[in-house]
Amino acid sequence: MFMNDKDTNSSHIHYSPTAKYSVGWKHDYRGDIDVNMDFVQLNNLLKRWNLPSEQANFYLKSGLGVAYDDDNFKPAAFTGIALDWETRRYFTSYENHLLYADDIDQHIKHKARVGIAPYVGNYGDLHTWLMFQVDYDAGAKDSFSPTPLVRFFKDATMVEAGYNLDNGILFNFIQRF
Amino acid sequence: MKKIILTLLTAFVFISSPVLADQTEGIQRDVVVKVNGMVCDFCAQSIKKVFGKQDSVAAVDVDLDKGEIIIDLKDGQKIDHETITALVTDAGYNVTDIIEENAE
Repeated sequence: MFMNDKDTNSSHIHYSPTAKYSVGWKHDYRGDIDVNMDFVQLNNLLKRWNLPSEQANFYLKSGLGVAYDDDNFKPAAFTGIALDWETRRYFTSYENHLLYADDIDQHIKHKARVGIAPYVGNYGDLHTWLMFQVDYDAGAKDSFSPTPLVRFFKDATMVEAGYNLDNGILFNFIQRF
Repeated sequence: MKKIILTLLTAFVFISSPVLADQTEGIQRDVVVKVNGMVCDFCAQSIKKVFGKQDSVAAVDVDLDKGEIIIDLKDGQKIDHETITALVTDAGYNVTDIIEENAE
């Protein structure tokens, strides 16, 4: 998957041996501070609630790696939880991200989304979601950063495009194999 | 950046073209599995993958509206309920009922 917003360009490839966890490699380029980070990432599905036509999930996401720029090369680690609840029509999620990269960067970020599907498609259809995302970074100049976005979803491919109101494009691409 | 976004969007349109759409009309409803938690195509994809690996299965389809997995078995083949339940549970979902519509 590729995730891009006004501060960060991310690439993440991972493999799920079971439905309960995945392991992979994640690369972040932080354009706001001109720093690269590489991690081995482990995602754990701690709890899932399956109900008729709805699902909720609770994940723990963690990574160990390095952060580096032209002058520094430091160990780095992150962790965070992710929760989501969705039906065929409504979506909501929250996740946080706690990063420690020595004197290169440290932060606690939060992200929340709400979404609605203007129409409900069946399997194999092109699914469309209208979403609104809010990012919160207590250490940032503009602590709250809102982004309206649209999600297109078909079979194993998902694309998201949005425009952050602080002059940043959001673009995410996920392909499952 | 804009060129990259345009290229990926073009690739997405190509990937989602009708030529590559799942052709499941006419699948025989040998076994229908009622499942909780299937809300999106990613869910359906993981289900189809695990059942598609079974030697007894000719084809599998998913109906998100009804919360059903439809299994078309190969001639003379069967799949037991314990196996179905294990496959669905291992994929991360819950079975609520299994109906054999064309039991031999």
